Amino acid sequence: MRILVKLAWRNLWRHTRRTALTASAVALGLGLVLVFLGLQDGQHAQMIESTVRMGSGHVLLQAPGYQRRRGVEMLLPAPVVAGASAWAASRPGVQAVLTRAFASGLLSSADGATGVSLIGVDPAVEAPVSRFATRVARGRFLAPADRGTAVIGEGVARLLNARPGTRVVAMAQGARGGEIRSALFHVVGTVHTGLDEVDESLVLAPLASLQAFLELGGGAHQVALLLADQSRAGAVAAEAARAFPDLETLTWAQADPQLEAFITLDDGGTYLFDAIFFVLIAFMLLNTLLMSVLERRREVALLGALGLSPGRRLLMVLLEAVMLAALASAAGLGLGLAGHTYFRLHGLPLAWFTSQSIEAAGVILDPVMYSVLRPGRIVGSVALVFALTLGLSLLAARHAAKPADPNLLKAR
Amino acid sequence: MTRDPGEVPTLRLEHVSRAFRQGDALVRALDDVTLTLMPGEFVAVAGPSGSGKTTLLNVAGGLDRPDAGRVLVGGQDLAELSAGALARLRLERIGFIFQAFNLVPVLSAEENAEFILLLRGVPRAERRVRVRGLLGKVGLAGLEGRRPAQLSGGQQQRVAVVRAIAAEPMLVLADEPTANLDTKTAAALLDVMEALHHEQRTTFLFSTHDPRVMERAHRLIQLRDGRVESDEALEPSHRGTG
Repeated sequence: MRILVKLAWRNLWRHTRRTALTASAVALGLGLVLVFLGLQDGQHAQMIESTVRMGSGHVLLQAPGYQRRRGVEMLLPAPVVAGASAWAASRPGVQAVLTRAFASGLLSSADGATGVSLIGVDPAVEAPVSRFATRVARGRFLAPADRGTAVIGEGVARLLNARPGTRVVAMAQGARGGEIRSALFHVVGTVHTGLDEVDESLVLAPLASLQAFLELGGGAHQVALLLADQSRAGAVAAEAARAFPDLETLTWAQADPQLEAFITLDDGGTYLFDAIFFVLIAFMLLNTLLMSVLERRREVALLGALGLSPGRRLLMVLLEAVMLAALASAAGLGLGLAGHTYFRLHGLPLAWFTSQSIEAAGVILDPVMYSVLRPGRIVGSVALVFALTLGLSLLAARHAAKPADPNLLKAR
Repeated sequence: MTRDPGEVPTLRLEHVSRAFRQGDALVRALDDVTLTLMPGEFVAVAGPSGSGKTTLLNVAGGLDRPDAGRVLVGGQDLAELSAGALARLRLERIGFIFQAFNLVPVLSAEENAEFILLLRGVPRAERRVRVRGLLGKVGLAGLEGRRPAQLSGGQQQRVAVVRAIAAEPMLVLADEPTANLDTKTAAALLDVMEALHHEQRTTFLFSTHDPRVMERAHRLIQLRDGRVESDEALEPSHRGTG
């Protein structure tokens, strides 16, 4: 085996320039693929974070059927809310536990009225983690001591000609008996998310105020969990489902299937792009490996004549391919990780490409894309390079294993 | 030489034929050749170009398959062996010396010389002793680390001879081994091969035009148009007349 390793290594460096060029091409391909995957996964992670931090969560606990029908009366009673919140807070990796109430209604001011989505939040818990709190356009976000206050979307403010200080009246169906109820709210701020559909319907109010307005008692519609690591959403949701079998437990992907579908589709596009990239690299690899074997036909015939079995001749070429793949992968990893580190620290400003804000799957993309490279992506990409190199080298190695023409050994 | 009647021939060809197509013509490189080489024979095959000498050696070494007939090495019918088993047989029983030297360019002289021993799994220390001793005998001491490209043709051929005989095969097939060598180098190489023949009873089969080889052979086989034209034992007093 040692002689095969020695032969393979020295054969690899017989044409230093060719080996270096091929390894560089593969390394560049792998490096670029890793950078693209990192930026794309980073963008997806940002989109998920934007979504879960704007009125949703990585894991949601709700009354059974609430996701589909969203009836105001489909409440989690106060003891259930308290129990679920306490359980969630005790789980490792849970960053915040948010209790929310929701209702659809009509908001009116002296200058008009419009349909809105009312969201009752606990300002003390919501403010530090909510994207709404970071997108206050005028006035301020809700404060823990607030009662009867509201933060409205910029679109709602425009339709009602409202601003911080304006009084608005909300009308919505109550949870008990179904009668329409109304309440006065004092606008303390406006938010601009960049999503028209959200900005023209959003009304955030203190949870306690909404509970009183809609006669929810101490109940709420949702206990939302924000996790430190979004990839654990499935595992935490499964744990929650076991702990609260009578509740509807959803991951962010189940709560927002449109976003999940977008990410899946986007990943599919990237895989296709990567596949095209790798196919081009494959042709270069195949060319190098085939050339390397075919130009050594006389030598391969000699090795066979000296007693190197077909299997060992095949192994010798495969070893050359493995060495080439290892060199290229090491260099590609270096390139990819360097690119990833740069974009993780400094990000890729979307302003380089467009001055417009970009919306995808109902989410406004952050103006700077940061790279997130998961170990699985690295392992998968490197494994692909090895599999490709080995697969193609088999085509070349078959030539080395075939019985050679003895005429090749004649004097030249 | 007295022989044990039950002794197995080192090489036996039975009615071996091999033809090649050249354009529309069918060229019979070997035509119903039968011959037997017993252990310890030192045999030269002579004949004009195209008489089938190289084909005979290729068929005998399992590098080429005959169209008809049987080839037995040490009693083993080569037709019964798979490609892997044939390679194993060559590794263990046959040494090749080619006119074109045929060294592995990425290995040093010493690595080339010990290549077969290495494939056989002979321990490093034993390999070194055997190979360095032989390299010294053929005048290559001090050149062990040189690659083939850094050696002259004669030096390369000496490495090839050491490679073939270091593993002490039962049969050495040498295809015009002295064709590209000067008289002194050729004589030195033939001395080494002759010594091995005496010490190990190694069977040598040379294809050659070279009178220097023929004068040392104990038996001379003349080929013409793929057929054995003559096969005669050479008494010491007659050697050199072939």
